[in-house]
Amino acid sequence: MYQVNDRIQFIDNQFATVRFVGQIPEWGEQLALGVEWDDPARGKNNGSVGGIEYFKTRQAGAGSFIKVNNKKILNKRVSFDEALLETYGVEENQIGAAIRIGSKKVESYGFEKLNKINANFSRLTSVSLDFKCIYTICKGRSLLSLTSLVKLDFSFNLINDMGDIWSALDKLRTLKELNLNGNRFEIIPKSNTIHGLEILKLSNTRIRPSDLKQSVLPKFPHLREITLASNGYTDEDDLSFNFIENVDLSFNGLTQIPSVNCLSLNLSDNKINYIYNACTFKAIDLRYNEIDSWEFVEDLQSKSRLRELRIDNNPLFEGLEEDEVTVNLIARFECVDDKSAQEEGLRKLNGSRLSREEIENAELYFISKVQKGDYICNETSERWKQLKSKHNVKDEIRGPRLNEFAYHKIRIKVYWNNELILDQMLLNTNTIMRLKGSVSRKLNKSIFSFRLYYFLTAEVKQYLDDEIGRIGDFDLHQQDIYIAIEANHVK
Amino acid sequence: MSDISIYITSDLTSSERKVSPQWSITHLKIRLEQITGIAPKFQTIHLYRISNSNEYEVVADSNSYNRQADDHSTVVALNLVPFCRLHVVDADPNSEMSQLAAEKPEFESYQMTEEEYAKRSNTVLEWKSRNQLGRFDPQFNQEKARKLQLEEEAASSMKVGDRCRVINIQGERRGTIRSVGKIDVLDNGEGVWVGVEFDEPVGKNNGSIGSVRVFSCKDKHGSFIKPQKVEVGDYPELDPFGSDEEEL
Amino acid sequence: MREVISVNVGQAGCQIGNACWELYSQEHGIRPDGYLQEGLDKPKGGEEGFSTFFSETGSGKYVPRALYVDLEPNVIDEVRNGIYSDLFHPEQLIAGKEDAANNYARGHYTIGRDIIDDVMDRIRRMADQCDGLQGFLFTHSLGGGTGSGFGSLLLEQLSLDFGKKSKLEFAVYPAPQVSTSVVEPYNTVLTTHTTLEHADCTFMVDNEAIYDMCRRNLDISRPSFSSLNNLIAQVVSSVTASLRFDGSLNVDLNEFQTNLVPYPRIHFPLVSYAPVFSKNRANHESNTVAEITASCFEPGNQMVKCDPRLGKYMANCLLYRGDVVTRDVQNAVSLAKSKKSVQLVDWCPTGFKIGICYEPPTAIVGSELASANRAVCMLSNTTAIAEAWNRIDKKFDLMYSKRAFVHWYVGEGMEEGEFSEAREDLAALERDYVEVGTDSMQVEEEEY
Repeated sequence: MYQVNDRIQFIDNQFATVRFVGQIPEWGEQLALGVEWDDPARGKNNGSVGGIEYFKTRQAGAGSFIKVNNKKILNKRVSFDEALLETYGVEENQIGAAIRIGSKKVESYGFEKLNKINANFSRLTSVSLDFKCIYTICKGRSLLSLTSLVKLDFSFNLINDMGDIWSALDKLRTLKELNLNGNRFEIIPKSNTIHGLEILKLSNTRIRPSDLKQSVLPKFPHLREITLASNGYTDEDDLSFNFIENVDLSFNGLTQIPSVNCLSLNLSDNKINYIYNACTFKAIDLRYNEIDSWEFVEDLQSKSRLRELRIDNNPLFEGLEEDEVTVNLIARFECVDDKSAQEEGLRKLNGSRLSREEIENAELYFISKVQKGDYICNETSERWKQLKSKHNVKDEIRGPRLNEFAYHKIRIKVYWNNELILDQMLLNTNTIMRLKGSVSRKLNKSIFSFRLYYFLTAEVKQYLDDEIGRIGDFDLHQQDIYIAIEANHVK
Repeated sequence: MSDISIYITSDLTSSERKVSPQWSITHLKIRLEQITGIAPKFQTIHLYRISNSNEYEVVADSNSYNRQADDHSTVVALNLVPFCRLHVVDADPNSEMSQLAAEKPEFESYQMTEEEYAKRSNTVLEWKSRNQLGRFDPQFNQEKARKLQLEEEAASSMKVGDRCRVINIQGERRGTIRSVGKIDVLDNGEGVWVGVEFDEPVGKNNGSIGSVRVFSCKDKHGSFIKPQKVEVGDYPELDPFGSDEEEL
Repeated sequence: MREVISVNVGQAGCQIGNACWELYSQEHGIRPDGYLQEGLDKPKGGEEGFSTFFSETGSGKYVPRALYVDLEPNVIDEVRNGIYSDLFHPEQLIAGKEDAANNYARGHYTIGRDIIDDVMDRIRRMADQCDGLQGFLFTHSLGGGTGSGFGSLLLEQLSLDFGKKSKLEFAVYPAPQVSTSVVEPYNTVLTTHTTLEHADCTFMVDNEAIYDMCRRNLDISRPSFSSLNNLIAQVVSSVTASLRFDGSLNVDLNEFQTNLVPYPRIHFPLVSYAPVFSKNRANHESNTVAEITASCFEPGNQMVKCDPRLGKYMANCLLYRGDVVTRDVQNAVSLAKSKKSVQLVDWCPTGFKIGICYEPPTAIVGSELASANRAVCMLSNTTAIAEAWNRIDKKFDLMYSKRAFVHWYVGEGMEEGEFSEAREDLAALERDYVEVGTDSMQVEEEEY
C-alpha cells in the first residue's frame, strides 16, 4: 500500500512522489493517488481537483491524480540486497540460443566467466544498480560483501530517505564514486560519521543547497567532484560551499556566475549573461547560455584567471564564423600554448589546445581589426594595453571607426517559394556576398544562378546585387528577403 | 628556420602541410602541383593570413609567371605565418583540373558487367558456386518455395481493412491491415508482405518504400511485416487513457 | 607468448600510432618513459595480454612492440622529440629523407625501394625477439603517397617473409567531401588492389566521420588532429582490447578473420563505438548497456560514412568492455535486433557474436572524451561499406577517363596498365559485395 512520500516509477521511466492517498468524489470508492511528477511538464494541476485541495505541489503544475491500479505504475519494489543479487548474483544467466537473428543463433563468448566474476561480490570494483526500483536498503547484508567497491551507480531508484544512503555508505568504506542522480530525498538527516567519497552525483534530485551544506557535504571532507545539474537552482540559491575541485551546475536557471569555491565549474545550459563576483576557478564551461555581448567576455577576463574556457553556442556568436569567434576569444584572453611552462593563462579553448603560432596570429589579426574599427574592444582595458605592448603597436594607425555599428546584428530571413529557407543573425558588416553564399549553400545552387530582393514598397522590389556592399548599407531591418531564380542571370 | 604548418587549398582539395622557408618558389610551386594538380605556370596563389577569413593577398600571379624569378626567391619572401592558408587558383581554362571541376554529376562510373564478373576467378561468385552457397545450394529453391507457401497460407486469411496486432520484444502494437501481397522494391517480389497502419506512431514508414507508395498513412504509422508475425482478430484500438489509466 | 608487432606507416599512420601508444600506456599503467606508474608492481591487465604489445627490457622498462616508418623526417622527428620519446628505442623510428609527394608510385617503387630493406631488417630483428609472433597490426592512410605506396610495398614484403602470419590494418580512408590531394583516389584504388590479397582484415577510418563525431558528440568546435587521433585511438584500443587484456572474443589476431571475414576479399568490417560523450555531459547522460548497444547501430557512431540499414550483415561482433551484466546484454541485443532490422546473410559461414573484455575503458588524460565504466565496440562486416568503394571508384574514373596526372606515376616507373588492372579489381570488389548481399532468405521477424 502506498504512503505519502513514497516514490513510484512508471513503465515509461517517469518518476513521481506520492503526496496524497485517499478517495476523491470523482472516482467514488476507487482509491486515488495524488502524485507530484519529477518532470513538472507531466503534471495537470497543483494538487487540487474539483475545487478541493488534497495536497500542494512543490513545483507549480507538477501534480495529478491517478488510480491506485493504474497500469502504467511499475509495481516492482525491491531492497538493495535483492537488486544486487538479481543483477550481479545470477550465475545461470546465459545469452545465446535465446536470440536468433534470421536463421542464425547469436553466439556469445565469455559470459559464464562474466557471471562468475560478477557473482564474486568481494572483487567487484564497479556496480550499477540504476533503474532497479530499490526502495530500501533494508538489512543491506550484501553491502558488507562489497569490499572492493569503488564506483556505485544508484541513480533513478525509489529511496526517499538519505539516512538509508548514509547507513549504506558506512558499510562501503572503499567507495570513491556514488551516483544518486534522479532520486528525490524527502528526508535528509545529518550524519555523525564521515566518509572518504571523492565523487558525488546529485543531478536531477532537486536537493536544496541548505541541505547540501548542513547534511551532505560535511559527511564527505574528501569530495573532489560534485554534480548538481538539473536541480532548478536560481540566483537566489546560496551555492558557496567549501572548496571542491569540480562543480557541475549545468542545466539550472542561473543568470549570473555564482561564487562557487572550486577549480573547475560547469555552468553550461543555464541563462548566464552577467558576472558579479570575482571568479576563483581556473576552468569554466559556459556553453548554451545567454551571453550576448563582448563586454561579458571582457568582464570574465578581468575577473578571472582562467586556464580553460568553453563558451561556444551563445547568442553572441550567432552569425560569426568559427574562426572569427576563436580569434576574438584568443585575443581577449591571455592565452598560452600547449607546450608553455607558464602557470597562468588560457590553454584550452572550446575543447581544443592552442599553439603558439595560432595565438600570435590571432592577436595580430585582432589588433589590426580593432584598429580598422571592425572589432570592438574596450581600449582602456588592461588586456588591450597588454596586447599593444606585446606586439609593439602604436596608437596612430587607425582607420575610420564604425563604432557600435560594427557589432550590430540583424536577423535575416530568406524565403523561396513561400518557404523560409534561411533564418540567420548576420553582422551589419557582413557583405551581401556572404549572405548569398549562405543562401547558395542552402539551395545548393551557384550564387550566380539567383538574385535576392526585398520589397521597398508593396510594388517596388529592391535587388541586392551589390555583392561587396555591406548588409548594413541596406535597410533590411524587419525585412523578409526573397529569392528570384533567373535562368540567364549571369554576372 | 624550421618548417611551418600551413593549409593548402584549391577548388578540389584541402589539407594541412609543412613547408620549409628555405624552399625556392619554384620548388614550392612543384609541391603545390603535386597536391592540387595545378601546373606551376598556371598557379595564382592567394595567401589568407587567417585561414578562414575573406581577406587575402595575391602572392603569385599566373599572368606574370617567371620561372627564373621563382628560382631565385624563396618561401621566406612570402612571409608565411603558421596556419595561414595558401589557396591555389587554376588560371588555365583547359587544364585537367578545370575539366575535373566542371565535371557533370551524371558522370557514369565504370561498372563491371555480370559477364565480365562471371569470367573472373577469385570472386565471391566463384566461391559461392564452388561451395554450393546461396542459390547454388541444391536446397535453396525448395526452401524458398516452402517459405513462400507458408507465407501465402498465413496471408490467405487476411484482407485489407482487418484489425490486427503484432507482437515483438517491445510489446504489442495494434493496427489495421492496408495491403497484402508482393512488393517488388522490397525483395524483387519474392515474398508476401502485410502492410499495417498502426494506431500509434510505432511503425517504420508512411506506407511507402523509398519512392514507391503501397498505401498511405501518417509517418511512423506504417510498416511492412511478414504474414506469420501478424495476428488478425478482434483487436480494437487501445485507449491510452482507458479506465485504469485515467488521470486527473 | 603471442606477440603482435605494430607498424605505423606515413604521416597519418605515425600520428595515429602515437595516440594509440599513449592510450595503451595509460591503460596498462606505463609512464611515458616506459617504467611502471607509481604504486604498481606489475603492468595492468595480466602478463599474457600485456606482453603481446609490450616487451620488457631487463631493467624494469617496457618497450612497445612497434615500428614507425615515414619517407620524410618531420613526423618521426615529432615522435623523437615528444613526451613519449623515451618509450621507444631509436631503432624503432625510421625516417627517410625524401617524401613520396602524395604519389603511390614514389612510395611503392622509387623512394620506397631505397628504404624497404632497412625496414624489413628491423622488423625481422623485432620478430626474432618474439617467442610466438601472431602477426602485424598496420596503421596507414590509403590516400597519402607513403601510406598507400610504401604501406602496400611493406605488406607485400611481410607476406613474402612471414608467410601466413596475420596482418590486420587500420586504414585512413579519404574523407568523402574534401580530398587532401587531387590524386587521393588513384592512391586509394592502387593500394587497395595491391593489398587486397595481403591483408587479412582491414578496419577503415574516415576522418570526416571522426570529425563530425568530435563536433557533434564532444562539442569541440574546431577539432584538431590531436582530437581526431585521440578518438581514433579510443576506437583502435577497444578493437585491440581483447588481445591485450583478459577477453573472450578475438583474443588472437587470426580470430578477427575467422569471425568477420567470410571470404578473403570481403575483409573490411565497419567499426562503431559507443559511448562518445564529452566530459561535462557524461555526469548526467545515462550510459546503459541498452543505450550504448543501440548507439552502435546509429550511423553517427560509425567510423566510415555509409548506411548499414541499406545493406546486409555477413558478420557482426559486439565487444563489450567494463561493468556489464549478462542479462542487460541479452536484452540490449534483442532490443537492437527488433528496432534496427538487423539482417544477416544466412548462407555465410560467419554470424553474430558477442564477446566481453572484463577491463573497463580508460580515457586519455586531457582528452575531451569522458571516461566511461562501460563501452562497446561493434565490428560488422556489412555490404553497406561497398558505398565507400563506389565513392572512391567514381572519383578515380573522373580523373582516369582523361588520364589526368597519370604521367606523374608513369614518370616514377609505373606501368599504366596497373591503373586499369587495379580499377578492374575494385570493380570486381563492388560486384563481390552485390553477390554477397543476394540469395538471403527473408526472415519473418523482418519489418520495413
